[in-house]
Amino acid sequence: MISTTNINHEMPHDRAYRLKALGLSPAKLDRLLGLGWVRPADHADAASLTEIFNQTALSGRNSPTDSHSTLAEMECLIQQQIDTDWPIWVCISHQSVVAFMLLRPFSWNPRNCCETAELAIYIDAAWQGIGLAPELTTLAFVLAEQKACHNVAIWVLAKNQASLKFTRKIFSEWAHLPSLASSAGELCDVYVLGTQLAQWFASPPGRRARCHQMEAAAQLSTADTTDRSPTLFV
Amino acid sequence: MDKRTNQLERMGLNSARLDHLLGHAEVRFACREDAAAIAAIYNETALNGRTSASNELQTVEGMEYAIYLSHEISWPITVFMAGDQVAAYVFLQPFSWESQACGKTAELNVYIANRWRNTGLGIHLAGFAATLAYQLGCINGVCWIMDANPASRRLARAASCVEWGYFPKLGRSAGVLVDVALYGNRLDNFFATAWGRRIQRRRATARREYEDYMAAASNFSESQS
Repeated sequence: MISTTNINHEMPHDRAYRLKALGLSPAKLDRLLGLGWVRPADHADAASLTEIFNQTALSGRNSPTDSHSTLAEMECLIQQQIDTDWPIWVCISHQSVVAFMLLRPFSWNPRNCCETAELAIYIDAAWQGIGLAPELTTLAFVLAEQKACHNVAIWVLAKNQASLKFTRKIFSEWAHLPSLASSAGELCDVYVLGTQLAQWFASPPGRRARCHQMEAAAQLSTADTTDRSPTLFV
Repeated sequence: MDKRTNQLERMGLNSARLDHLLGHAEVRFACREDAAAIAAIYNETALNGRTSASNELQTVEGMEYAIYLSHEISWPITVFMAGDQVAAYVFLQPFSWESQACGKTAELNVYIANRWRNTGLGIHLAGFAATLAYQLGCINGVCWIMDANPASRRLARAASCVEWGYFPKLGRSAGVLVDVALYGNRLDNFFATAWGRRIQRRRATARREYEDYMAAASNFSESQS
Protein backbone atom coordinates (compact mmCIF):
# COMPACT_ATOMS: atom_id res chain seq x y z
CA MET A 1 0.00 0.00 0.00
CA ILE A 2 1.13 3.55 -0.68
CA SER A 3 2.34 5.56 2.28
CA THR A 4 0.53 8.84 2.57
CA THR A 5 2.09 10.52 5.54
CA ASN A 6 1.90 13.93 3.87
CA ILE A 7 -1.79 13.76 3.20
CA ASN A 8 -3.95 15.61 5.64
CA HIS A 9 -7.40 15.41 4.17
CA GLU A 10 -10.10 14.43 6.60
CA MET A 11 -13.24 12.65 5.45
CA PRO A 12 -16.10 15.14 5.48
CA HIS A 13 -19.02 14.41 7.77
CA ASP A 14 -21.36 14.29 4.76
CA ARG A 15 -19.18 11.81 2.88
CA ALA A 16 -22.08 9.58 1.81
CA TYR A 17 -24.04 12.50 0.43
CA ARG A 18 -21.04 13.75 -1.54
CA LEU A 19 -20.26 10.33 -2.98
CA LYS A 20 -23.86 9.94 -4.11
CA ALA A 21 -23.76 13.35 -5.74
CA LEU A 22 -20.84 12.02 -7.78
CA GLY A 23 -22.93 9.04 -8.90
CA LEU A 24 -21.15 6.61 -6.56
CA SER A 25 -22.54 4.14 -4.08
CA PRO A 26 -21.04 4.78 -0.61
CA ALA A 27 -21.94 1.24 0.45
CA LYS A 28 -20.17 -0.30 -2.53
CA LEU A 29 -17.13 1.93 -2.10
CA ASP A 30 -16.94 0.94 1.55
CA ARG A 31 -17.23 -2.72 0.61
CA LEU A 32 -14.26 -2.30 -1.75
CA LEU A 33 -12.13 0.08 0.26
CA GLY A 34 -13.08 -0.15 3.90
CA LEU A 35 -13.83 3.51 4.33
CA GLY A 36 -13.83 4.83 0.77
CA TRP A 37 -13.58 8.39 -0.42
CA VAL A 38 -12.76 10.32 -3.60
CA ARG A 39 -11.51 13.89 -3.92
CA PRO A 40 -9.48 16.10 -6.28
CA ALA A 41 -5.74 15.59 -5.91
CA ASP A 42 -3.40 18.26 -4.67
CA HIS A 43 0.37 18.55 -4.41
CA ALA A 44 0.46 16.53 -1.21
CA ASP A 45 -0.65 13.51 -3.26
CA ALA A 46 2.23 13.73 -5.73
CA ALA A 47 4.38 11.09 -4.02
CA SER A 48 1.55 8.56 -3.87
CA LEU A 49 0.57 9.19 -7.47
CA THR A 50 4.18 8.84 -8.61
CA GLU A 51 4.50 5.57 -6.76
CA ILE A 52 1.31 4.16 -8.27
CA PHE A 53 2.29 5.30 -11.78
CA ASN A 54 5.78 3.84 -11.47
CA GLN A 55 4.53 0.43 -10.35
CA THR A 56 3.67 -0.31 -14.00
CA ALA A 57 5.61 2.38 -15.87
CA LEU A 58 8.25 0.05 -17.28
CA SER A 59 6.04 -2.97 -17.80
CA GLY A 60 5.42 -1.90 -21.38
CA ARG A 61 1.71 -2.56 -20.92
CA ASN A 62 0.13 0.33 -19.09
CA SER A 63 1.76 3.53 -20.25
CA PRO A 64 3.68 4.49 -23.38
CA THR A 65 6.82 5.39 -21.51
CA ASP A 66 10.39 4.19 -21.27
CA SER A 67 11.19 5.74 -17.91
CA HIS A 68 9.85 6.24 -14.41
CA SER A 69 7.95 9.39 -13.60
CA THR A 70 9.60 11.74 -11.14
CA LEU A 71 7.97 13.53 -8.25
CA ALA A 72 8.55 16.86 -10.00
CA GLU A 73 6.85 15.59 -13.17
CA MET A 74 3.85 14.41 -11.16
CA GLU A 75 3.62 17.73 -9.31
CA CYS A 76 3.74 19.46 -12.67
CA LEU A 77 0.95 17.20 -14.00
CA ILE A 78 -1.21 17.83 -10.91
CA GLN A 79 -0.76 21.59 -11.31
CA GLN A 80 -1.37 21.45 -15.05
CA GLN A 81 -4.63 19.56 -14.51
CA ILE A 82 -5.70 22.05 -11.83
CA ASP A 83 -4.82 25.01 -14.06
CA THR A 84 -6.86 23.62 -16.94
CA ASP A 85 -9.78 22.92 -14.58
CA TRP A 86 -9.55 19.15 -15.10
CA PRO A 87 -8.14 18.12 -11.70
CA ILE A 88 -6.85 14.62 -11.10
CA TRP A 89 -9.11 12.66 -8.71
CA VAL A 90 -7.74 10.32 -6.10
CA CYS A 91 -9.47 7.35 -4.56
CA ILE A 92 -8.83 6.92 -0.85
CA SER A 93 -9.09 3.95 1.45
CA HIS A 94 -9.04 5.24 5.03
CA GLN A 95 -6.13 7.72 4.68
CA SER A 96 -4.29 6.09 1.77
CA VAL A 97 -4.40 6.88 -1.94
CA VAL A 98 -5.16 3.60 -3.71
CA ALA A 99 -5.93 4.87 -7.22
CA PHE A 100 -6.18 7.97 -9.31
CA MET A 101 -8.11 9.04 -12.34
CA LEU A 102 -7.56 11.85 -14.77
CA LEU A 103 -9.67 13.38 -17.48
CA ARG A 104 -8.51 15.83 -20.09
CA PRO A 105 -9.68 17.10 -23.48
CA PHE A 106 -9.03 14.79 -26.43
CA SER A 107 -5.38 14.98 -27.49
CA TRP A 108 -5.99 15.83 -31.12
CA ASN A 109 -7.14 19.44 -31.50
CA PRO A 110 -8.03 19.77 -27.77
CA ARG A 111 -9.39 23.26 -28.23
CA ASN A 112 -12.17 22.10 -30.52
CA CYS A 113 -12.48 18.52 -29.25
CA CYS A 114 -12.88 19.37 -25.56
CA GLU A 115 -16.36 17.85 -25.61
CA THR A 116 -14.61 14.49 -25.87
CA ALA A 117 -12.68 13.73 -22.71
CA GLU A 118 -9.78 11.31 -22.47
CA LEU A 119 -9.78 9.09 -19.42
CA ALA A 120 -6.81 7.45 -17.70
CA ILE A 121 -7.08 5.31 -14.56
CA TYR A 122 -4.19 4.05 -12.42
CA ILE A 123 -4.77 1.64 -9.56
CA ASP A 124 -2.27 0.58 -6.91
CA ALA A 125 -1.18 -3.02 -7.58
CA ALA A 126 -2.49 -4.10 -4.17
CA TRP A 127 -5.97 -2.87 -5.06
CA GLN A 128 -6.24 -4.14 -8.62
CA GLY A 129 -8.83 -6.74 -9.55
CA ILE A 130 -11.30 -5.87 -6.79
CA GLY A 131 -13.68 -3.80 -8.91
CA LEU A 132 -12.38 -0.29 -8.40
CA ALA A 133 -12.11 0.54 -12.12
CA PRO A 134 -15.90 0.54 -12.73
CA GLU A 135 -16.37 2.93 -9.79
CA LEU A 136 -13.69 5.29 -11.10
CA THR A 137 -15.19 5.06 -14.58
CA THR A 138 -18.59 6.05 -13.17
CA LEU A 139 -16.96 8.99 -11.41
CA ALA A 140 -15.24 9.97 -14.67
CA PHE A 141 -18.50 9.87 -16.63
CA VAL A 142 -20.31 12.01 -14.05
CA LEU A 143 -17.47 14.55 -14.01
CA ALA A 144 -17.23 14.55 -17.81
CA GLU A 145 -20.95 15.22 -18.05
CA GLN A 146 -20.53 18.14 -15.63
CA LYS A 147 -17.87 19.49 -18.03
CA ALA A 148 -20.47 19.32 -20.86
CA CYS A 149 -18.68 16.45 -22.61
CA HIS A 150 -20.54 14.22 -25.04
CA ASN A 151 -17.97 11.42 -25.21
CA VAL A 152 -15.30 9.81 -23.11
CA ALA A 153 -12.42 8.06 -24.87
CA ILE A 154 -9.66 5.90 -23.52
CA TRP A 155 -6.32 4.93 -25.11
CA VAL A 156 -5.19 1.41 -24.27
CA LEU A 157 -1.98 -0.33 -25.27
CA ALA A 158 -2.76 -3.58 -27.09
CA LYS A 159 -0.53 -5.47 -24.65
CA ASN A 160 -2.70 -4.43 -21.73
CA GLN A 161 -5.18 -7.26 -22.01
CA ALA A 162 -6.68 -6.65 -18.57
CA SER A 163 -7.56 -3.06 -19.44
CA LEU A 164 -8.87 -4.05 -22.86
CA LYS A 165 -11.07 -6.72 -21.35
CA PHE A 166 -12.53 -4.24 -18.87
CA THR A 167 -12.91 -1.27 -21.24
CA ARG A 168 -14.56 -3.36 -23.96
CA LYS A 169 -17.44 -3.99 -21.54
CA ILE A 170 -18.16 -0.27 -21.29
CA PHE A 171 -16.62 1.36 -24.37
CA SER A 172 -16.81 0.51 -28.06
CA GLU A 173 -13.73 0.31 -30.23
CA TRP A 174 -13.10 3.52 -32.16
CA ALA A 175 -9.64 2.89 -33.54
CA HIS A 176 -6.82 0.39 -33.81
CA LEU A 177 -3.48 2.09 -34.41
CA PRO A 178 -0.72 -0.36 -35.38
CA SER A 179 2.87 0.19 -34.21
CA LEU A 180 1.96 3.57 -32.77
CA ALA A 181 3.67 3.87 -29.42
CA SER A 182 7.13 3.08 -28.19
CA SER A 183 6.80 1.36 -24.85
CA ALA A 184 9.51 -0.50 -22.95
CA GLY A 185 11.72 -0.18 -26.03
CA GLU A 186 9.37 -1.62 -28.61
CA LEU A 187 6.62 -0.31 -30.84
CA CYS A 188 3.19 -1.50 -29.89
CA ASP A 189 -0.36 -1.18 -31.15
CA VAL A 190 -2.83 1.09 -29.41
CA TYR A 191 -6.61 0.89 -29.26
CA VAL A 192 -8.86 3.89 -28.77
CA LEU A 193 -12.19 3.05 -27.20
CA GLY A 194 -14.98 5.49 -26.68
CA THR A 195 -18.48 5.88 -25.39
CA GLN A 196 -21.20 8.46 -25.78
CA LEU A 197 -22.25 9.66 -22.35
CA ALA A 198 -25.94 9.86 -23.26
CA GLN A 199 -25.87 6.15 -24.15
CA TRP A 200 -24.00 5.22 -20.99
CA PHE A 201 -26.41 7.13 -18.75
CA ALA A 202 -29.23 5.17 -20.39
CA SER A 203 -27.54 1.85 -19.51
CA PRO A 204 -28.07 0.07 -16.13
CA PRO A 205 -24.81 1.38 -14.54
CA GLY A 206 -25.60 4.87 -15.82
CA ARG A 207 -29.13 4.72 -14.43
CA ARG A 208 -27.73 3.56 -11.08
CA ALA A 209 -25.38 6.56 -11.04
CA ARG A 210 -28.34 8.83 -11.81
CA CYS A 211 -30.30 7.27 -8.91
CA HIS A 212 -27.45 8.04 -6.51
CA GLN A 213 -27.33 11.62 -7.79
CA MET A 214 -31.08 11.97 -7.39
CA GLU A 215 -30.91 10.62 -3.82
CA ALA A 216 -28.23 13.23 -3.07
CA ALA A 217 -30.35 15.96 -4.63
CA ALA A 218 -33.36 14.85 -2.53
CA GLN A 219 -31.19 14.86 0.58
CA LEU A 220 -29.97 18.35 -0.32
CA SER A 221 -33.49 19.70 -0.66
CA THR A 222 -34.58 18.38 2.74
CA ALA A 223 -31.46 19.11 4.79
CA ASP A 224 -29.49 22.08 5.98
CA THR A 225 -27.50 23.24 2.94
CA THR A 226 -24.94 25.46 4.61
CA ASP A 227 -21.85 23.55 3.53
CA ARG A 228 -23.32 21.26 0.88
CA SER A 229 -23.10 23.46 -2.15
CA PRO A 230 -22.75 21.29 -5.26
CA THR A 231 -19.78 23.40 -6.31
CA LEU A 232 -17.79 21.79 -3.48
CA PHE A 233 -17.34 18.61 -5.39
CA VAL A 234 -17.23 19.82 -8.99
CA MET B 1 18.04 19.52 -65.50
CA ASP B 2 18.45 22.97 -63.89
CA LYS B 3 19.08 23.53 -60.20
CA ARG B 4 15.44 24.27 -59.31
CA THR B 5 14.11 21.28 -61.20
CA ASN B 6 16.74 19.01 -59.65
CA GLN B 7 15.83 20.28 -56.20
CA LEU B 8 12.13 19.49 -56.75
CA GLU B 9 12.91 16.01 -58.09
CA ARG B 10 15.24 15.30 -55.17
CA MET B 11 12.22 15.95 -52.94
CA GLY B 12 10.39 13.28 -54.94
CA LEU B 13 8.24 15.78 -56.81
CA ASN B 14 7.40 15.57 -60.50
CA SER B 15 8.79 18.95 -61.55
CA ALA B 16 7.18 18.96 -65.01
CA ARG B 17 3.69 18.32 -63.62
CA LEU B 18 4.20 20.78 -60.78
CA ASP B 19 5.30 23.46 -63.27
CA HIS B 20 2.29 22.62 -65.38
CA LEU B 21 0.04 23.20 -62.35
CA LEU B 22 1.75 26.13 -60.71
CA GLY B 23 3.61 27.88 -63.53
CA HIS B 24 7.04 28.33 -62.05
CA ALA B 25 6.90 26.01 -59.03
CA GLU B 26 9.12 26.39 -56.04
CA VAL B 27 9.05 24.41 -52.81
CA ARG B 28 10.75 25.67 -49.66
CA PHE B 29 10.45 25.81 -45.90
CA ALA B 30 8.07 28.50 -44.68
CA CYS B 31 9.45 31.63 -43.09
CA ARG B 32 7.81 34.27 -40.94
CA GLU B 33 6.94 36.35 -44.00
CA ASP B 34 4.72 33.53 -45.28
CA ALA B 35 2.48 33.65 -42.20
CA ALA B 36 -0.14 35.97 -43.72
CA ALA B 37 -0.47 33.88 -46.89
CA ILE B 38 -0.62 30.60 -44.96
CA ALA B 39 -3.21 31.99 -42.54
CA ALA B 40 -5.27 33.19 -45.50
CA ILE B 41 -5.24 29.69 -47.05
CA TYR B 42 -6.22 28.12 -43.72
CA ASN B 43 -9.01 30.65 -43.23
CA GLU B 44 -10.51 30.00 -46.66
CA THR B 45 -11.94 26.75 -45.32
CA ALA B 46 -11.59 27.18 -41.54
CA LEU B 47 -15.29 27.71 -40.90
CA ASN B 48 -16.80 25.49 -43.58
CA GLY B 49 -17.12 22.62 -41.07
CA ARG B 50 -15.52 20.15 -43.48
CA THR B 51 -11.80 20.76 -43.63
CA SER B 52 -10.62 21.53 -40.10
CA ALA B 53 -12.05 21.01 -36.64
CA SER B 54 -12.04 24.74 -36.21
CA ASN B 55 -14.37 27.34 -34.79
CA GLU B 56 -12.40 30.47 -35.40
CA LEU B 57 -10.14 32.06 -37.96
CA GLN B 58 -6.38 31.80 -37.65
CA THR B 59 -4.52 35.03 -37.01
CA VAL B 60 -1.26 35.98 -38.69
CA GLU B 61 0.40 36.08 -35.25
CA GLY B 62 -0.90 32.59 -34.52
CA MET B 63 0.50 31.33 -37.80
CA GLU B 64 3.85 33.05 -37.17
CA TYR B 65 4.02 31.10 -33.92
CA ALA B 66 3.08 27.85 -35.70
CA ILE B 67 5.88 28.44 -38.24
CA TYR B 68 8.31 29.18 -35.41
CA LEU B 69 7.29 26.02 -33.54
CA SER B 70 7.56 23.88 -36.67
CA HIS B 71 11.19 25.02 -37.08
CA GLU B 72 11.84 24.50 -33.37
CA ILE B 73 10.88 20.82 -33.56
CA SER B 74 12.73 20.50 -36.90
CA TRP B 75 9.56 19.59 -38.76
CA PRO B 76 9.21 22.87 -40.67
CA ILE B 77 6.08 23.85 -42.56
CA THR B 78 6.75 23.66 -46.31
CA VAL B 79 5.19 26.04 -48.81
CA PHE B 80 4.48 25.36 -52.47
CA MET B 81 4.94 28.56 -54.43
CA ALA B 82 3.35 29.45 -57.76
CA GLY B 83 5.66 32.28 -58.78
CA ASP B 84 5.58 34.61 -55.78
CA GLN B 85 2.26 33.29 -54.40
CA VAL B 86 1.83 30.59 -51.78
CA ALA B 87 -0.43 28.04 -53.49
CA ALA B 88 -0.38 25.39 -50.79
CA TYR B 89 1.41 24.25 -47.68
CA VAL B 90 2.25 21.00 -45.97
CA PHE B 91 2.90 20.57 -42.31
CA LEU B 92 3.80 17.54 -40.30
CA GLN B 93 3.57 17.09 -36.58
CA PRO B 94 4.25 14.24 -34.17
CA PHE B 95 1.18 12.21 -33.25
CA SER B 96 -1.02 14.21 -30.86
CA TRP B 97 -1.41 11.58 -28.14
CA GLU B 98 1.76 10.95 -26.09
CA SER B 99 3.88 12.69 -28.73
CA GLN B 100 7.12 11.60 -27.14
CA ALA B 101 6.29 7.90 -27.25
CA CYS B 102 4.50 8.19 -30.60
CA GLY B 103 7.08 10.38 -32.34
CA LYS B 104 7.60 7.78 -35.09
CA THR B 105 4.09 8.49 -36.31
CA ALA B 106 3.59 11.75 -38.17
CA GLU B 107 0.32 13.56 -38.64
CA LEU B 108 0.25 14.85 -42.21
CA ASN B 109 -1.65 18.04 -43.02
CA VAL B 110 -2.12 19.47 -46.50
CA TYR B 111 -3.82 22.79 -47.28
CA ILE B 112 -4.40 24.16 -50.80
CA ALA B 113 -5.53 27.66 -51.71
CA ASN B 114 -8.98 27.80 -53.33
CA ARG B 115 -7.52 28.89 -56.63
CA TRP B 116 -5.50 25.67 -56.97
CA ARG B 117 -8.02 23.26 -55.51
CA ASN B 118 -9.31 20.46 -57.78
CA THR B 119 -6.32 20.80 -60.08
CA GLY B 120 -4.56 17.60 -59.00
CA LEU B 121 -2.09 19.43 -56.76
CA GLY B 122 -3.22 17.44 -53.68
CA ILE B 123 -1.70 14.19 -54.93
CA HIS B 124 1.72 15.84 -55.26
CA LEU B 125 1.43 17.32 -51.77
CA ALA B 126 0.41 13.97 -50.28
CA GLY B 127 3.39 12.22 -51.89
CA PHE B 128 5.66 14.99 -50.69
CA ALA B 129 4.29 14.78 -47.13
CA ALA B 130 4.92 11.03 -47.05
CA THR B 131 8.46 11.53 -48.41
CA LEU B 132 9.19 14.19 -45.82
CA ALA B 133 7.85 12.01 -42.98
CA TYR B 134 10.03 9.13 -44.21
CA GLN B 135 13.09 11.39 -44.29
CA LEU B 136 12.32 12.47 -40.73
CA GLY B 137 12.58 8.82 -39.66
CA CYS B 138 8.87 8.19 -39.20
CA ILE B 139 7.36 4.73 -39.52
CA ASN B 140 3.71 5.68 -39.93
CA GLY B 141 1.88 8.55 -41.56
CA VAL B 142 -1.64 9.42 -40.43
CA CYS B 143 -4.20 12.07 -41.21
CA TRP B 144 -7.29 13.15 -39.32
CA ILE B 145 -10.10 13.73 -41.80
CA MET B 146 -13.50 15.20 -41.15
CA ASP B 147 -16.28 12.83 -42.15
CA ALA B 148 -17.77 15.52 -44.37
CA ASN B 149 -14.59 15.80 -46.44
CA PRO B 150 -14.83 13.09 -49.13
CA ALA B 151 -12.08 14.66 -51.25
CA SER B 152 -9.52 14.21 -48.48
CA ARG B 153 -10.70 10.65 -47.88
CA ARG B 154 -10.18 9.85 -51.57
CA LEU B 155 -6.72 11.36 -51.43
CA ALA B 156 -5.82 9.35 -48.32
CA ARG B 157 -7.06 6.13 -49.93
CA ALA B 158 -5.11 6.93 -53.11
CA ALA B 159 -2.01 7.12 -50.91
CA SER B 160 -2.84 3.55 -49.76
CA CYS B 161 -3.96 4.77 -46.33
CA VAL B 162 -6.70 2.81 -44.61
CA GLU B 163 -9.19 3.88 -41.99
CA TRP B 164 -7.56 3.16 -38.65
CA GLY B 165 -10.35 4.67 -36.62
CA TYR B 166 -13.63 6.53 -36.63
CA PHE B 167 -14.48 8.99 -33.87
CA PRO B 168 -18.17 9.93 -33.66
CA LYS B 169 -18.99 13.49 -32.60
CA LEU B 170 -15.37 14.00 -31.66
CA GLY B 171 -15.15 17.75 -31.94
CA ARG B 172 -16.92 20.89 -32.91
CA SER B 173 -16.38 22.51 -36.27
CA ALA B 174 -18.15 25.70 -37.26
CA GLY B 175 -20.29 25.19 -34.17
CA VAL B 176 -21.46 21.68 -35.09
CA LEU B 177 -20.37 18.36 -33.57
CA VAL B 178 -18.57 16.42 -36.27
CA ASP B 179 -17.36 12.86 -36.84
CA VAL B 180 -13.68 12.46 -37.64
CA ALA B 181 -11.87 9.55 -39.27
CA LEU B 182 -8.24 8.68 -38.76
CA TYR B 183 -6.47 7.33 -41.82
CA GLY B 184 -3.03 5.82 -41.58
CA ASN B 185 -0.46 3.61 -43.17
CA ARG B 186 3.06 2.39 -42.63
CA LEU B 187 5.29 4.53 -44.83
CA ASP B 188 7.06 1.35 -46.00
CA ASN B 189 3.76 0.21 -47.46
CA PHE B 190 3.30 3.52 -49.27
CA PHE B 191 6.79 3.36 -50.80
CA ALA B 192 6.08 -0.20 -51.97
CA THR B 193 3.16 1.03 -54.12
CA ALA B 194 3.70 2.02 -57.79
CA TRP B 195 3.29 5.66 -56.75
CA GLY B 196 5.79 5.37 -53.91
CA ARG B 197 8.30 3.53 -56.12
CA ARG B 198 8.03 6.29 -58.76
CA ILE B 199 8.84 8.86 -56.07
CA GLN B 200 11.85 6.85 -54.87
CA ARG B 201 13.15 6.40 -58.47
CA ARG B 202 12.75 10.11 -59.16
CA ARG B 203 14.65 11.00 -56.00
CA ALA B 204 17.44 8.53 -56.76
CA THR B 205 17.87 9.81 -60.33
CA ALA B 206 17.90 13.45 -59.22
CA ARG B 207 20.36 12.68 -56.43
CA ARG B 208 22.73 10.94 -58.87
CA GLU B 209 22.53 13.90 -61.24
CA TYR B 210 23.18 16.26 -58.35
CA GLU B 211 26.19 14.26 -57.16
CA ASP B 212 27.57 14.05 -60.72
CA TYR B 213 27.15 17.81 -61.07
CA MET B 214 28.88 18.46 -57.74
CA ALA B 215 31.74 16.12 -58.68
CA ALA B 216 32.13 17.85 -62.05
CA ALA B 217 32.05 21.27 -60.40
CA SER B 218 34.68 20.16 -57.90
CA ASN B 219 36.94 18.77 -60.70
CA PHE B 220 36.54 21.98 -62.63
CA SER B 221 37.50 24.15 -59.68
CA GLU B 222 40.53 21.93 -58.96
CA SER B 223 41.66 22.16 -62.59
CA GLN B 224 41.31 25.95 -62.47
CA SER B 225 43.44 26.21 -59.35
